[in-house]
Amino acid sequence: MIPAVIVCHGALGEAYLEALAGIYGEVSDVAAVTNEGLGTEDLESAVAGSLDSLGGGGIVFTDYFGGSCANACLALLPERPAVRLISGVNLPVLLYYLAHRNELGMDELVRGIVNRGHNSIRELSPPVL
Amino acid sequence: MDLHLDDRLLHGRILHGWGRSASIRRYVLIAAAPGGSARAAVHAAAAREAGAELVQAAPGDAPPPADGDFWLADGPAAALALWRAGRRYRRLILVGLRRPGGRRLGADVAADEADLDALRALQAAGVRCELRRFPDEAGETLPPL
Repeated sequence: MIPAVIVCHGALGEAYLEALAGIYGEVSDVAAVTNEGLGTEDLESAVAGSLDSLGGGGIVFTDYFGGSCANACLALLPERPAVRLISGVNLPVLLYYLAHRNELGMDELVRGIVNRGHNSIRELSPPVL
Repeated sequence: MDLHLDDRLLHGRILHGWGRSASIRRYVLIAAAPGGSARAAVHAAAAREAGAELVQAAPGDAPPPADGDFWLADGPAAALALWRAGRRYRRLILVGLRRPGGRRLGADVAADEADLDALRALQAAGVRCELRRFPDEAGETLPPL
């Protein structure tokens, strides 16, 4: 099973965990890290510590590319080849991740997550009556 | 078969929480007073998104059960009406019921007097009523109400 860390601004990461617990049920081996009150190095340390507590490898989800959370995670990647980083986290990709993390290898899981993310933002039409 | 109960019918917990535990090919939604066409269309769209067929029926018009079914009622009244229409189920699994001001039976289940009456009738008929939010958590059998 591939663990994950959700690194987001403010309380967003914890809120995702709470929402997942309501939709999917108990979620294990997923942690949330906030940038709240943390400088760059402290945030990198917090993400690294969270990854280490889950075995050192896994998927890191961040809220958006270019923000302090993604920047801190990107800085960790060179020394952590077993970590994959995905920006633009949302509930559909987290649900996809949870549903497939036991059955897919890392490359296939990451591809599926990215595809799900691309497909998850849509304009919805009125239902056909 | 088991009958599940959630007043929201098809929503995230059903699709992702319960949907992951079994290969669901068809959702059968039972409503005491079937919703308007817009609500029905919304549920149909949600089922399509999950790759499953959807049947929405009044208790007296329910189809025969089939492999890969997930049966879901929108309240105790619909569950009781289904039973009284002759459709037998082993358990009634209460996933969610949110009646404002209702008697709290579980974390996500609050029932009003009409719900309680229907649940009592089902218990008297021998149906095991069980509180269970997710398939992999321990269910709690409702004591006699």
